[in-house]
Amino acid sequence: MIDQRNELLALADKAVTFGAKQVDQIEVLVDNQYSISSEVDLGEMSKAFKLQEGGAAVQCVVDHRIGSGFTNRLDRLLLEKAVKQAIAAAKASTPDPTLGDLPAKGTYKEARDVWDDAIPDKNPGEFVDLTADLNRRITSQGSDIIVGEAATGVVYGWHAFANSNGVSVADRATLAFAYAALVATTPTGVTPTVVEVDVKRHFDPDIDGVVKRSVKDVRLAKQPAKGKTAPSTVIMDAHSLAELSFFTLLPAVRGENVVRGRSALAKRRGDKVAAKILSIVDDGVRPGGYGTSLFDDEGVPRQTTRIIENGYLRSFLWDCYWSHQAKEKSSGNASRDLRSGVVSIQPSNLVIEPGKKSLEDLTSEVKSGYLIKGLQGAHSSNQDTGDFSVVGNPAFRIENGQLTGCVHGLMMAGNIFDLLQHADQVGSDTREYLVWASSSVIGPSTRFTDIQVVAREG
Amino acid sequence: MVILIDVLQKAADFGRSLGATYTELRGESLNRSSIQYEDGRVRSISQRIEEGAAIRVLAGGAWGFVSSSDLSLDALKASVKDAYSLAARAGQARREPITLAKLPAAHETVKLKFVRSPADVKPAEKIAYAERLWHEAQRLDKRMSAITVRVRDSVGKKYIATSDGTQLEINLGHVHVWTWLTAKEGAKLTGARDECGSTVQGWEYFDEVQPAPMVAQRLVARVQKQLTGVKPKAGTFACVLGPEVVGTLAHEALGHLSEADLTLQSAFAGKMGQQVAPKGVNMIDDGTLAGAFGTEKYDDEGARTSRVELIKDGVLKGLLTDREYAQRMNAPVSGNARAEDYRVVPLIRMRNTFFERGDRPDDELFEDIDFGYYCLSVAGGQAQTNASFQVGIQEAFEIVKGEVSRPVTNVSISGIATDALMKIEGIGKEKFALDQGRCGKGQEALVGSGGPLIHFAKGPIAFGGKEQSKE
Repeated sequence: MIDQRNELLALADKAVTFGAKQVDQIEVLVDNQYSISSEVDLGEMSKAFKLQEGGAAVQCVVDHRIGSGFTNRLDRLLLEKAVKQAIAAAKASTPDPTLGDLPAKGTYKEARDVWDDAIPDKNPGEFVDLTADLNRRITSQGSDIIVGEAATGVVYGWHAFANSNGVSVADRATLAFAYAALVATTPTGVTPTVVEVDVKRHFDPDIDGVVKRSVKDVRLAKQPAKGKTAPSTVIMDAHSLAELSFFTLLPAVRGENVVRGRSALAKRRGDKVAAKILSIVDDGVRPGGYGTSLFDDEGVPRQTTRIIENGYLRSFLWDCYWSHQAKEKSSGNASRDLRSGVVSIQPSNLVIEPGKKSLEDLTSEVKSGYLIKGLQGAHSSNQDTGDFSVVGNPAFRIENGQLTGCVHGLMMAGNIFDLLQHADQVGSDTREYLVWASSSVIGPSTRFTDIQVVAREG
Repeated sequence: MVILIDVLQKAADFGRSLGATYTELRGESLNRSSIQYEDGRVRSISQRIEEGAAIRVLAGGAWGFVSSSDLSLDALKASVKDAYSLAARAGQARREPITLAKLPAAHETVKLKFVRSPADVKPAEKIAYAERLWHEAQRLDKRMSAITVRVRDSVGKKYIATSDGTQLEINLGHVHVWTWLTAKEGAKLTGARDECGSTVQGWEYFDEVQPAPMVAQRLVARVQKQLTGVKPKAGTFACVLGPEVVGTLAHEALGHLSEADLTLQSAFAGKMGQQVAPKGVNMIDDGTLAGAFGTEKYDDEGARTSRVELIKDGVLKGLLTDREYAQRMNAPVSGNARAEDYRVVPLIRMRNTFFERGDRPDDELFEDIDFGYYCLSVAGGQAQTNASFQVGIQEAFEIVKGEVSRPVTNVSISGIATDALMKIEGIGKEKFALDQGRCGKGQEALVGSGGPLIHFAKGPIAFGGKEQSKE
């Protein structure tokens, strides 16, 4: 497999050279990805995929006006056309006199453990066999288990960035995944869907782990349990906490919202905003992380930013535009939607620093409470206030330290900033989850006390 | 590049020559525009043409899928060959082959009736719409402190050519505005969203149907209620749900269970023909509804869209299908195979999902409620296979002794849809509205949803408030 870094970088550089004569500033991000996978639907092999997706996003500034262009074909002439589109868009836009300069070349830390040479050489047949094996191993556990969907596959790609301020840099990454989404039949219907995912930068799919964890959870989900409307102890797995945080905590630490007056944490840097046991770091250079790369989507070097340290708010996350407004420095958290051209602040790897106790220990210490391994409705939280009202699904009942079954429709309501103050233990069961386009959450389960839950009657 | 239907057809025929059971090419050429406006500034403006083809082959009893941005015949044939190999390989791991319901070949050019194509509307006018929205919001209430407006539109062509002889040229497009408005009063921050759009009207939709001042007024009213609202209680309560909430319930709680690829793994499995709601309750998904957001003439397999009675007089009657699941479930092909764009496979998706009007005067629905909630506007919703639903509510009022009373701040409702349906106490016969929204099932689909007012008895719907109920 040919390394496309130089080729993509050459395209980006040429587009910058072409556009720089006509504009004040220009930046170009070029991306090319391949993926191979296969999918089981309803317990049978259904589809095999081979996808290639390339694209180049151009952003330029003309007289303090920003405009973007895009092409989905990696061709020099089409990229020049995208430059012209961006210029036309800029000329149609309104001026923003507060625009700063594009970033200059930085010092890039090597992005370690993000590439596996073996992955680009994989052939689709391998994933048909692997997915079929995953499916067979699950369905052999009982005729009451339905594999709604399962898949294995790989993704590999290259991306390059250049701007008219001297940045010219390229990177590459691979990813291998395996997942299964199961339900089990019950006397009255079905359980909620249980999803288990394994994601790594190198090819070493944990099929055993996906099978074991998903079957364990779906079997527990079959056993009905009753909840109680009352303040309760709740353990949230990292995926659930990440999903909730994405729509409540993260908006408040985005520099954009600090500047725009939309962050409840704007004036609280240095304050205690969470329990002392909580530390949350954005780590864009973590070896093997899904969000790890040399640079963000504005060519700024990835770095490590401590957001919350032992409960205290230390930093916000920034891209170039909003850091310039706030007289801060970019923290390397720019994420560019290639098609719409919108640059937004997104985490790279959001790391919840683990504690020492296993999930089993956290659970065994709970006399009455719940373990939440999925959420409905995190996205309808109020991003300005941090208020949320979500359904834990699946929500497993804990009674006298034991998981006793699944509560249907357990609601949790509150505010993220209160919730974080009520964390009393962080587990050691660190896992990685892909939460948003190019971001991951890496963290363990976290236990919270005195959380308002609402259980359905009957 | 101009997409030629003949080129797509040749590639589809090439698939047949390889021995494929079915080959389908879906080519697209779309002019897209995205503008994001914030607080007086254009955050981004992008105009682009996107072209590509989706290649789907059924061979050896399974599917192979490839997408391509190279629309030359050689490249498409190579993609067909790849998709064929993928399908054949996947088919080796399958016990029973996938078979497809029969579909008559369709030949048509579907026209678009935009009066003002968004491609012809200058960006300055689209920016001016967002600006007007912002200025009007601030004029109405100086506490409105920040706004994000996303103006998106597309116009272009989609071509479908299959080895079964279908050849379609579909002119399509949409206009859409999503807005989030933040307000600040002292230390208090809050916000609310709005979205509206059309797939049958072009930019004239924002001139005639949803001008900026109207959207601003609606959104400001919503945010003001958030500023003054009381905290909702936690617990189960009787409630009257307005059309937007009813529509989200229809979509999230029930519609997804009616998508045939999810039905067999959901709470609706084995319930066809059973009473799932009281008599008089009718729920429909209609892809032919004139003017509605999810309406199209053909789906992405070339099947005509249709009106499907999902629940008729309380009985579960219909399913949403594509050709594969129609064959599998012995159901009609309903025309619900939809793909967001050429990069993804078509999946079974809803179109316009709604409850039909009932027989009760609207104001009667409130009369018997000593304490409950009247829920009007939605912040989002999410479904689960066990019929658990969650709907985020961003505009609601208390009902006290039959009267609509104080506004409440953000809350969610949840329940098990199959339980909730059986506790419908009454359906209004007057007010009816259909909303516009976007559904995610791994890829986005434009959908409509709505209905009349519906009264649910206390019990099946829980309110995730923060105040413990004293009841």
